[in-house]
Amino acid sequence: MPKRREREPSERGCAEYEALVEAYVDGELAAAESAGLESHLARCAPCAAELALARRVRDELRALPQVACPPAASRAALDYAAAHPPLGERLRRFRSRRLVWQPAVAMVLAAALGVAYYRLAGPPPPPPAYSSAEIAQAEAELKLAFAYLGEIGDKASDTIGTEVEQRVVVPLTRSITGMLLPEPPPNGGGGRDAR
Amino acid sequence: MLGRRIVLALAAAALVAAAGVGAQEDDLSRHPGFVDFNPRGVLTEDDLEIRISVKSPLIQLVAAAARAGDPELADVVDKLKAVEVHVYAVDEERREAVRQDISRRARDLGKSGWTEAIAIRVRGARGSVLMRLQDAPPTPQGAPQAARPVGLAAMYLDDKGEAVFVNIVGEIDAAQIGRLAAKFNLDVLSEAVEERRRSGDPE
Repeated sequence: MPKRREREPSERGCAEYEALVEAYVDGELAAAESAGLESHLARCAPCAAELALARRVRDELRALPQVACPPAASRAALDYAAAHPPLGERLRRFRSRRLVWQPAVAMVLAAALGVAYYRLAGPPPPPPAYSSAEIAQAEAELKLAFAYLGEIGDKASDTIGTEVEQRVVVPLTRSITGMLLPEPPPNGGGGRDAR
Repeated sequence: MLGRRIVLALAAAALVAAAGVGAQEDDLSRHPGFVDFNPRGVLTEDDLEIRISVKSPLIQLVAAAARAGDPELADVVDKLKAVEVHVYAVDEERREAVRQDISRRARDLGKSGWTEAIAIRVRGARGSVLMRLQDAPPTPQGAPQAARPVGLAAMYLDDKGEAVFVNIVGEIDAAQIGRLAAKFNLDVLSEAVEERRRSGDPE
């Protein structure tokens, strides 16, 4: 069994050099990397064999006749790629579109609710605007309303007469006064019956 | 996640806005102190001689305008939502029907939570004064409070054929309203209101 060559601590492993072989064959390595690889290949037979294999494959591929891809096949491949992007790309597009359509749906929903409510409840009434003349007229009418209320009391008194007034109105008035202006209940009870 | 939150927030905002608009529609007829005294049955529009109808927010504007000159009037009307007065001229043939109508209205109101405070049935006159009371919330200390009047309805037909219907809707201070009722002179105010209506000039 062949004894494995001792590696220096700073030296790269064969796997790392093998990864550079393809790029070396294609002339894509930097000068420093090429020099390091060449130094390793000079001392490592397996890696040198890898390099020889890579060169042979390259040469044989170059020796193959050039076959042009039919235009229809190219278009079909491009169309398929456009229609079926990678999963990550599709997720990114979906998230991007969602930020656009969700607010739009929300606005449509809000508008629909507004229209539905407007149709059900009718248009909101415009805020009333009263002139000083209207306010003064309303004040006069309110005073007249209170005067009519007083008139009802006066007519009731005149019509009923003294006797009935003493027997009915006065007790009722006392009762009403007690009902409307109740004394604070000593035991915390509510209002009294007026009748 | 963000999009869903936006959807929910906007939908909730739309619902809240719709509810707010709905809440602004103050339906006076649903107020417990409201009574519909509009002409119907035996009383018609043709019999109507005077109609006074002052409602919020005009009432509150009146209160603000009257604050300096008549603070008691301002205090009373500021808490009201509506004041309605209908005055009818009733010919002799229909007076009995109107008396019965007043009695029937008083009974109906009594069945729907009103308390008849005064009932007058003498010498061809018929009248009724009713109050609508509403339970007051307990004090901050938790003590119960007496029910408060939130509506007043007065109906009266005198022996000369004048029928008066008054409805006051809102928080009522009976003592203050009583003082106001005694303070204003009906004849003078009637002329003043009619004069304003004819001229359209408040000054």
